[in-house]
Amino acid sequence: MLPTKSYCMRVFTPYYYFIVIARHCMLWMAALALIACQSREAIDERLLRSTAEQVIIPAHQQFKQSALTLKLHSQTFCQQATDQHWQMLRQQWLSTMLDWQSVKLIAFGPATAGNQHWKVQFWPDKHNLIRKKVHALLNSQQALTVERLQQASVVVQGLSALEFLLFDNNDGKLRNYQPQIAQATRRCQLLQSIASHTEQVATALLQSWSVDGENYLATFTQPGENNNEFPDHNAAIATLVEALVSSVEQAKRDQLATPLGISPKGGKLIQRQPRPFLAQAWRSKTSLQLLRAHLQAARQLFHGGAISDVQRFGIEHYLAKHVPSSTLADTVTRQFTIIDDQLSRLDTTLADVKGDPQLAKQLTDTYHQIAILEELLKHDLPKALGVSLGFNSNDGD
Amino acid sequence: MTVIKRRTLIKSALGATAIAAGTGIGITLFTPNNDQANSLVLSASSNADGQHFISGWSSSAKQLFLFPVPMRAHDCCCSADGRVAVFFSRRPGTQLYIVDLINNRLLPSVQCPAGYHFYGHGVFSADSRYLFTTENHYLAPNPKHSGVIAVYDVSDIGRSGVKRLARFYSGGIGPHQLAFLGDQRTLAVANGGILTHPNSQRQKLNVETMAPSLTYLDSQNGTVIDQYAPQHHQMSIRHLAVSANDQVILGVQHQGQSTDQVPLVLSHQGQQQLQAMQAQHAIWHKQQQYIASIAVSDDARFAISTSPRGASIALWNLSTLRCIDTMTLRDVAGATYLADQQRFVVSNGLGQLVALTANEQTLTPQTLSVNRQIRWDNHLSRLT
Repeated sequence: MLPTKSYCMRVFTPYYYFIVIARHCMLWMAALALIACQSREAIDERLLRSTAEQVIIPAHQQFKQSALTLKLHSQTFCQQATDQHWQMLRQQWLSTMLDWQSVKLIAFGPATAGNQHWKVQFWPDKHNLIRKKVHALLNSQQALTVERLQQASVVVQGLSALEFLLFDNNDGKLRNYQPQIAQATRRCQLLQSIASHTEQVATALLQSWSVDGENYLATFTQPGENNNEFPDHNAAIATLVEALVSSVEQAKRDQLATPLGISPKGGKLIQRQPRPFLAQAWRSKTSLQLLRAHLQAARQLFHGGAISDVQRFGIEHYLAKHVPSSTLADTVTRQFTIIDDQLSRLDTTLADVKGDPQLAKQLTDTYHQIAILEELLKHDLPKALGVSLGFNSNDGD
Repeated sequence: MTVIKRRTLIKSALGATAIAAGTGIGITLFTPNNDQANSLVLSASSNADGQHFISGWSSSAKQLFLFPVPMRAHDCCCSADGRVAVFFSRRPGTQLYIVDLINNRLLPSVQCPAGYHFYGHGVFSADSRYLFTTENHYLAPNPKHSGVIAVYDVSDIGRSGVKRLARFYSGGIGPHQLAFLGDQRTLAVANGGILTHPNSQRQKLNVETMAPSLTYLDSQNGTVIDQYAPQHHQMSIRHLAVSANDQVILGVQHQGQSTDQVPLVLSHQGQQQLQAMQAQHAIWHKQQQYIASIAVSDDARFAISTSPRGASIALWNLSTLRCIDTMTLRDVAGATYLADQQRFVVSNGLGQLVALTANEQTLTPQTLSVNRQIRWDNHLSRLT
């Protein structure tokens, strides 16, 4: 502080000028810090809002539309069980599964309330519960309505049970739905109820995110002290990164390593007996196609939308704003491309791996490439963004 | 008596702030208007740089102590007379960190004997003279007998330190959390069943053959009074809390498949078998086969379980054994019950502390503090 006396006398000593300049500097620095803080917050908000509006909600809308079409196709087929309707229904099941891959990534928020994801897909099914529980329902005396299905196990509620009814070597044949077959009517009732139930779950998930529904969009995009789930932007961004990491981990471990029978130990891979029945969709022989779609969905989450969308603002752009010198975004993008190229060249099914050493080698190579991607997303990305993934979640104690 | 001690502690909060400043992470835990009755709550923590701390704080003041420690700590327990808090290093750690709560200072740490390590939990006897810890005797000739409860004399801890008096078999492999029943003699021990050896760090060596149990032990002579196995041999019982009427609530970490449908919270109160708490499968599934902590209310009506992997807290009715409500909190792990506020408090790895008021229908949260610099570790404890 200046001595009062010298100020009153207006004696402008060098000390006085120094203090005045220092005060101005401090004010400017505070203002700049405030602007920096605000712009950081604006970028945080832009990432959350853009990702939610350009990736998450459109994925839910698309899945809901697919599930609705699936329901309609199941009704058409059950009115007239022709080969053409059968093929259309099976094709629509695959379309719905492909769209589901983009929703499956968003394993937080509404998805976690009431186990919504298992209602859509029950997997891995180590004990073949799907077969047991679908047969138990078919053989029961109960009406196979949607209400009955809501009370039943999640195992029979969604797309995995539909796959059994549409693609299984015994149960998934058109002949089972011909009028002369004893259980044909009940099978068709179950088919339609499961399709309706899946459409209901898809609608509820979309509704949970919607502004005119439960508006989880607001919870996710407006962190703050009164928001228990996301007390600040960092927590919401960490959740987004966690979703990305988990999806790639799942691709590596559950979609490839487990059915291939490979597991890491001491820096090496141990090869055990392949277990193709633990693949995501072994009955329809679409596991590799779905794996590719799953990783493409993860890539969209990283990019903040389709590459063609110039307005998009994803984790990739957020990283560039946060650490302008970082080459990590390019490295991640390149790694996604390598994996997609490898998967695009495979015109086969995972089940063939048992008798095809060349395929086993190709898939093991893809496994390694996904492992590299996992490392980038799990370690380098959180570090660059200054977010921490689960501390106790990874504890194991 | 305890009230006086707490006041002493809170008065010395200023002194503790100096310690905090020295560590570079001064912490304001509670907003100023949150001036509720005083409770001492304790937890281990880490920061983003991987430094580890032990800390204690009051719900009406700032932190009371914060000490850096060399190894990551796990749980903590306080002597009933309010004089001492002991933090256990996380497995396979070998140190006890002891805090003199009266003078607010860190006493010399205690090393367990060669061939042993702590599992991260312990409990004081009611007279505050003895400390019982769960340990892995990993050099035991027969690994089946590696689970140990060690007894330490802590009656004169400030002057002559800690003396290890005895050890006895825990009744299984991998004893984890333990607590006294109301008789203050019978110990309830969660034998997790998982064999580990420090040479292979935390690698699980017997997942296919593990045999977890709830074991009741006589703390005076180590006699196994009774044992109860869960319905699936891979349901590792790790954590427990005992209610005022001796109902033991157990938290499970299942080592089987992610799609195995097993209950993750169990109850026992004299029945022939462990009782599964009742919840829709969706609730179990959300918890992703992993419960981090259990806390029970002092009136024995409610319990909560935390699941960091599922970002989920479940509220349980201890009479009906049913799940009343669930709520989401990322990475939630630590849990305890504040008697003077009659509500639970939970912590997570994102620096959040959230108070939870329970009733027959719901769990109502209130954020107490958020500090991005802190990663609260697996457990919260309180001075009872």
